[in-house]
Amino acid sequence: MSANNKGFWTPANIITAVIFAFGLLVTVLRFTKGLSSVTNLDQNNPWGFWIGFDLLCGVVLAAGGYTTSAACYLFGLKKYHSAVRPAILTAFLGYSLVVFALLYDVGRPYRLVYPIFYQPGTTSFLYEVGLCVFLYVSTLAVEFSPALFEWLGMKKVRNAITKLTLPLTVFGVILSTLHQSSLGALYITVPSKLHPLWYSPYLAVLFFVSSIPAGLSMVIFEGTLAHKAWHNMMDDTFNAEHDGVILGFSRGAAMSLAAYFCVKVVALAYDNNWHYLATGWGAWWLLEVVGFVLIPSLMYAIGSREKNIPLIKWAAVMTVFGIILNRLNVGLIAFNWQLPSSARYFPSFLEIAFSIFVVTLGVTLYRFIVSRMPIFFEHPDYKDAH
Amino acid sequence: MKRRQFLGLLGAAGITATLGTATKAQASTHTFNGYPEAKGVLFDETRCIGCRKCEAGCNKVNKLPAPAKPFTDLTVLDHERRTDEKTYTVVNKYRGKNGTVFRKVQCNHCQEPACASVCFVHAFTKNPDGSVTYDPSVCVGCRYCMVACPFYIPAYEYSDPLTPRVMKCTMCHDQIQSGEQNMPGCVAACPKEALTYGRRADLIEIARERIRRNPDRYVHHIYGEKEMGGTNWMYISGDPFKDIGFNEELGEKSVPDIAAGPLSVVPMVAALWPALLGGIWAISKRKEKVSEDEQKAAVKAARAEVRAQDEAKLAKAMENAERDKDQAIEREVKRALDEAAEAAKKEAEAAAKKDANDDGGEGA
Amino acid sequence: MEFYVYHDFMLHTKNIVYILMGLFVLGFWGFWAFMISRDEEIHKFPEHDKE
Repeated sequence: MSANNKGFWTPANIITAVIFAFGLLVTVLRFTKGLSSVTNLDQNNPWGFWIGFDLLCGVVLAAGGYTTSAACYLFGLKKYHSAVRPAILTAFLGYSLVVFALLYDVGRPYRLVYPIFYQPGTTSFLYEVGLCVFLYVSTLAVEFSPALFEWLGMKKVRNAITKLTLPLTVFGVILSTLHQSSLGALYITVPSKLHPLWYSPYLAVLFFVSSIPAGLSMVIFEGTLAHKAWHNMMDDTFNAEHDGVILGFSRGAAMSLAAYFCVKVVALAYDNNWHYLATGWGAWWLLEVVGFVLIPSLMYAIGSREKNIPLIKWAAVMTVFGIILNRLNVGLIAFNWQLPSSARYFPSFLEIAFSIFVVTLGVTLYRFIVSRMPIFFEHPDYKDAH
Repeated sequence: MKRRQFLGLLGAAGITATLGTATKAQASTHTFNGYPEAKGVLFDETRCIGCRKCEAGCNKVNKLPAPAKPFTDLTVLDHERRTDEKTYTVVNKYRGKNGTVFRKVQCNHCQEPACASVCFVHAFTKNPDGSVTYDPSVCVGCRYCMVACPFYIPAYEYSDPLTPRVMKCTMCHDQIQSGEQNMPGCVAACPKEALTYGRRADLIEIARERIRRNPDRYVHHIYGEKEMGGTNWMYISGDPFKDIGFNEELGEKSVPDIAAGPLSVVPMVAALWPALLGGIWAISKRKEKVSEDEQKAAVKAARAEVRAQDEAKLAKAMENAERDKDQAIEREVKRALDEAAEAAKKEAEAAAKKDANDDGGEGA
Repeated sequence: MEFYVYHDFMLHTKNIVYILMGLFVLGFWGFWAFMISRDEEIHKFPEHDKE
């Protein structure tokens, strides 16, 4: 591209700069004039796009961290080892940005640690989420730190931390199980507000089970993008293992999506909600569950059977989209479904702009880190350690 | 019936009501009936005239900001309203079966409050006097209470950037505790006794009595007696509740009741996962070790075989060497013997020739 | 201790349960470390000490 000749002001950097300008605008408005100046939130719709997308989707799409490290370190699938560091990095950035976005959404961000250190409200699922996210961000920071210490050449600290790999992985899986499911359980308390097709006593199970294919799909999806951008950074081990990771993960995603589909149908049967399928909401539900759960599951199965990598990559994109659709349905679209349309919520331009800003911030940090630290390759000093 | 008699009867009935009909939250072996002296308010739709005096009374007692339109302006009733951050209570107008009717909206002070159950800093408290109050000194502003409230009551100060509060009716808890008021501001302001303040248990009896005396006037239901586990603010009405803005499909289960099952699973993850995941790790580790051992054993066996072969070869070589040595000796001995024999033979021949020469010279 | 409100009872029991959860997880770690402390091979993480 000719962009290289223009120095800093490449098209990509200009777009990034514009997005960052909007981020700055939202920051100033939010902390001087309050949420009402930037969001469409109102008394009936207290949770908007920043919760529905930034929190719910952010957390589930960062599930690649625990699924990949569990596959590699607990289930003994060592051929996925090269996928662990990128997945941990994505999870760490994802969760950090979830917390970052929450600082804008909650009314008194300076009190965000109150539930943990000041006055715990242990009957709340949000307490559960808060505690686990707090602990998991810390765990991910430690899990990621060896890459940082290798980059900085701090061998002793790095070696001490790698001794903790196994307990940290187990701890990470416990915390992920808890908060992924509790995010769904948040909505168990609102049977009268959430549409019956999405409300279920199984919400916690649904959210946890769906986090597995979401995490695996994100690893595949993100690996594909990373391959295009940083192919030269990747060492032979990484490249040799990459297709194996895709094939292995597509099997895991196919099976976990099938399991998720089953739980979805059981939830329907448990509350005898079949008749809602004949309504407009039913069509929307079918689009989500058939179009973006069942079909990607089949695509994954066929793709892994025929070693069809492009098909698998499309299945990953569809799964990610389907999970985002599900979280938006639960958090925004099917929530308050009985209110008249005039009282329903639709995100403001600045709310969406801020979410784009948060994602862009994540991509920028990711680019900064992978182009410097040993993420896609093994640091030459630690080759023997393998 | 004389008033005194009625109250005495109420006292006795109150006990049965508390034990018998009030909410029963269950936790395995425990039953919770709420605070026995909890107060509440009974709203009678058939008595309300929509004068908005309760709104004005609430505004004054709670020192809330003055509204855009004065409380005497009844045109605001033309639109259905809800509570907001500056208004703890509103009156809405509906078309009833016998003309215009009104319904007052405010916090219902649930027996098992949803807002308290979901608050992750325990900012809400159910007090012994029946009120549900909020503590802004710990609130983080997550607004989960607003999400969870089935009655759409808590409101939020969205335009406050750093110290927003959740605002809702307190049943004038502070004012009554301090003695400033002896009943909530709205109840005191009502000119038509559409609101009755008293023990919740007594209010249920009063409501039953009104319905029993005028069965044609009232719908035979006390809204709030059981809804969402029961509320301390209850309603009787001449029109179906769904026609005057009530949700009749909330069910009788309180939010703590609904959440109890899923919440009980949470500690199971901490108790079972370490063992389960440790087990999976140990199995995969064990497999690895077994395959490693098998590999080692195979290497060992191969080595042993090679060594055995080597030894055999060596032994054979040694044997050969031995044999070669023997043969060489034999050969040497034989050669020596042969040489010795040859020498003896030559000596003998030479001796014979000399003897012949000696005999021929003597004869000539 | 007597409870009139189910939510107060739950708050009390959940407070205890969360403390127990923390103890369980830490306890499992210690227990596991004790169990394998003489198991040199596992302790060294021969295949795992990357990352």
